[in-house]
Formats: sequence, structure tokens, C-alpha cells
Amino acid sequence: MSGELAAYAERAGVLFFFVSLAFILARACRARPMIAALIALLVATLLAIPYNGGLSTIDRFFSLSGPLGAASLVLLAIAVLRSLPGGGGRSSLDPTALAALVVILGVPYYWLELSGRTLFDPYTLGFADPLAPLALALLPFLFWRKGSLAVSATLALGGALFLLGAYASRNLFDYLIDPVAVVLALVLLIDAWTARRRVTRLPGGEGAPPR
Amino acid sequence: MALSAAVMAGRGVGPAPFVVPDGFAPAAAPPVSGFIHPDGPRIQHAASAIELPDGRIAAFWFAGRGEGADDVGIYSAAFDGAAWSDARRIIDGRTTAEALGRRIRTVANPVVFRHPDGAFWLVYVSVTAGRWSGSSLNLSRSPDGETWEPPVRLVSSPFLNLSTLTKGPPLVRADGLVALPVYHELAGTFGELLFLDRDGAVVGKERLTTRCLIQPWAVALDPATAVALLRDYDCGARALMTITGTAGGTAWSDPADTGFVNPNAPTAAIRLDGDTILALTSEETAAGIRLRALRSDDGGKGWFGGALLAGPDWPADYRYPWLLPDRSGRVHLFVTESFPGYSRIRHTILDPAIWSGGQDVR
Repeated sequence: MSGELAAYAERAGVLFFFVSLAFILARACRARPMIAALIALLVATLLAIPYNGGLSTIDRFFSLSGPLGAASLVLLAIAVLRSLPGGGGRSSLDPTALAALVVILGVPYYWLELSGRTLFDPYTLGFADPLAPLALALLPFLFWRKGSLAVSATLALGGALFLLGAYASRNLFDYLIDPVAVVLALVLLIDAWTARRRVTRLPGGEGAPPR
Repeated sequence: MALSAAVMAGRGVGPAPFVVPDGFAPAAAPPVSGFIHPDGPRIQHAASAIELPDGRIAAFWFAGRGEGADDVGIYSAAFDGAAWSDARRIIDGRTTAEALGRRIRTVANPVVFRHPDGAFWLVYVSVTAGRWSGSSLNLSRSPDGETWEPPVRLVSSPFLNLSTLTKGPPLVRADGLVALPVYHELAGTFGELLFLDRDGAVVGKERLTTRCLIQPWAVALDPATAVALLRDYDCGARALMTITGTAGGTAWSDPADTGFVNPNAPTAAIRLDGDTILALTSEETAAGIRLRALRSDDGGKGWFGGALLAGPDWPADYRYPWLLPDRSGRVHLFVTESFPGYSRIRHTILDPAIWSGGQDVR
């Protein structure tokens, strides 16, 4: 992919981040899906307008975040779908496995990368030969068969973006995971945990004494 | 199984011989010493230099109100053997921001080198937010060393692409990859090597050290071996350390102590011939930070001290040296000369005798 196209592709993920957040927040305020979508579009338009020096809010956020990996995009997409009517009850949209995987792999990955405590740098494994994404391509089927659509979608999307050369990076891991994904995953896990606690505390909820 | 296949196929960059620059016979030259841009901005720092096709020497450094200030730019000037041309501002935060479509607060640490394909490459640091730990690398290319293309961003770190800086020239490999010594200073401080392909994309990376050793300056000795000198980042030892690389920079030894103190400042080095390395490193003296000539005749295993550049001709603190031998054998030194409140880039053609013995230059 050319440098200019890659620049657009990299910013598209950041735009999706803000659109998703706007939609989810609007839905949390009980806006109908159509109204929430319009609010999200309005937010996206405003954030894409350049100001004071020629950069938009998207550009400024992108200056710090860089492109988002597939895990972020899939977690956001799931959060959007779950905010739709009936979406919360669909087991195929359960992000727990993906969120747990992102946290379990991401935290030690970034710690090893940033701390310099050891000579092992996991990032180097992402500078893979073409064979590696082909091998990776088998994994989505594996996770799909195991029932984790989110993990499967993340691997498939990340692998596809990598093979397309959608971003400037030549490292496969940059297409799969990023620090924003770890934060999103933590938020989703904490949200799921507190929701479960609320259920167990309700009279007649799971763990409540039998009547 | 698929995952293990992915891991086994990983890393991307394999061993390859180093391309070893020709050695040179050091030539005595008429003494030349002066500031490149005496009337330039208040703070001038971190020079690098290269010989142009017509034999002139081009230097690059950053300058502005202060390190990290938003008015900092990267400047360049050329030396024709007698005098320096007027300095030109070639890149700054604004032009980098325009090219990348990102917010850029400041720029720093230009490193210039000639790619095997003949083009001149200028790698430099930019900071979007925070201090040096918020740095990323950018690459600008030039066909002639004077007109520079808009920069592209190098992607070198998975954590928001933060905290990769550079200081020394690259090693070149026979497979065409450029191995650029860089360093990291966000949570930990350590040296790394980035492998860049002909398009300027980062296609591999190797960690050189664990904590506290940064700003590697690497020299290829032969197709199989390179040696790097490292700055001690004030973690206690305050020692000038070396590491030895093999397999095209994909394998490095544990750090070894040169026996010389390092006052948290970088070192520059060049290969003379065979296994002989000439280096200049900062040394803390009663009068301030001065430069000490170091020499190794056994590929960096043993080092002995040459002259200390001190006395009335060396009246300030000296850090960030850059050494460049030209085609006639003259050795050019570029170094930051720091006075209270301001600094200048000093250019000196060195007398090769400083590496011959312990006689201080006073």
C-alpha cells in the first residue's frame, strides 16, 4: 500500500475509535440507535475538521496513539454491537475471551519491551517472514471452532491488514495489538466483573440464598 | 502448531556479513578549528557529518532556544577545506509535522550517513509530547546531501512508537540492510539496533544491552565482527563499556568494561585499519568535561588512553563527539562545546598523534 493510503488507513482506526465511543455514550444515555448513529457521525465530522495549525483532533490523537491494532478495532466493534437492542445477550459478541487474552499477553509484552530487564524483546518476533502470517491465518479457524468469534476476528483482521501493508509498520504485532487495546480490554473486563457482582447481589440472583 | 510455526518463522532478519569501510592512513593536516555557526541559535548540539561527493564535509546539528524547545531546527553547513558555508535550517518541527500530518513539538539528534545505493539518509528524533522518552525517529533522504525529501516516520516500538533515539552512524550489511544503533529511555534505558531495508522501513530489531547502557556507537572491524561503545547512563558503574556483535548484528556479547570512566556522555569511534579502533570519549577533569583519545589495537578487547584534549584551546565542556575520516586521511571532530547558558558546534581537524600516546594536548 502506498504511503498516502497507509496514512489514511492508519487514521481510519482512530476515527472509528471516536465514532464508536460517541455511539456507545449516546446509547448509554438512552438515545435510539438512529439518533446515536447521527450523533456519532456529527462527532466524527467535528473531530476531522482541522484547526489551529492545520491538524484535526483525529490527527492530534493519532500523533500520540499511532494506528490501532485489530484487537482495539474488534473490541470497539463488539462494544458498539452490544449497545444495540438485543446485542448484550448474544453470546457470539462476548468479548471476555479476547479482552482476557489481550491483557494476559499485552501486559508482559509491553513490560518486556519497555523495561529492558532482559535481552529478550518480544517485538522482534513480529518481524516475521511471509510464512508467519500464513501460519497465523490458520489460527482464526481454530478459535472460531472453539467458539471465540472475537479472537478469531481479531486474528483474521490483523493478518489481513498486515498482508495488505495497510500501516507503515512491517511488524505483525503492530497490526494485532496496541496499548489502547489493553486499556479497552481492562475496561471491558472490569465492566463484566462489576456486572456479574451486581447480578449476584440481586435478590434471587446467582449466589443468593434460596427462597 | 500454527503458533509455533509463526514463532519459528519470526524475527525476519538473519545473519549477514558486515560491509567494512576501507581503512585509512591518518594524515597530518594544517590545524583547523572553529565554530561552524558562531552566530547561530543559543543552544547547538549533537552534530553528525559526512563527506559529500565533491569532497566537501557536510555537518548537521540541532539548534534553538534550548534542548526540547519548540523553535529547534536541524541545521546544515558545508566545509570546503578552508571555511564553512552559511548554515541552513533544513528541517524543524513544523516541516516534520506538515510531512507526517502529526503534531511535532521539537526535533533533535540528526544522524547522517550514506546508504549503499548512494543516497544520503538523515535520521533524526522528533518529540510529540513529553521529553526525550517521548521520542520517535524520522528519515529524510537526499540524492546529493543538500536537498532533502519530506521525512517519513520509522516505526520502531510497539508502545505508541515511543522512545527510540539515535546518536551514532549505522553499520551496513552485505544484504543491503542498514543496522542503525539506537537507544530507548522510557521505562528502562538500553541500546538497540534497528534494521532498515532499502525503502527505509524497519524490518528487524535487536536488543544490545539491558538497563543503563545507551547511545551505542558501532564500528565494523571485519565482515564477521563489529564493536560498539556505550554511554553509561549514570546507573552507578560510570564505566565506558563495549559489546561485540557478530552475525550481521543479530548476536551481541555481554558488555565489557574498557577500564575508562564515562561521565554519562556518548563516545565516537572510527576504524583505522585491521583491528585498530580510534575513539574519543568525554572525561571528567578538575577543569570540566574534556575529550580523551582512546585506542584499541585488538578489536576493542583492550584499550589505552591517548591524549586528553585540554588547555587553553579547549576551554569548555565537551560532549557528543562525532568523528569522520575524509578521503585524504584527515580526521574531523565535531563536538558540542558548552559554555554557561549556551553551546556551539566546534569543528577541529585532529592531529592523529593524539592516539599515539598519553601526551595531553595543552
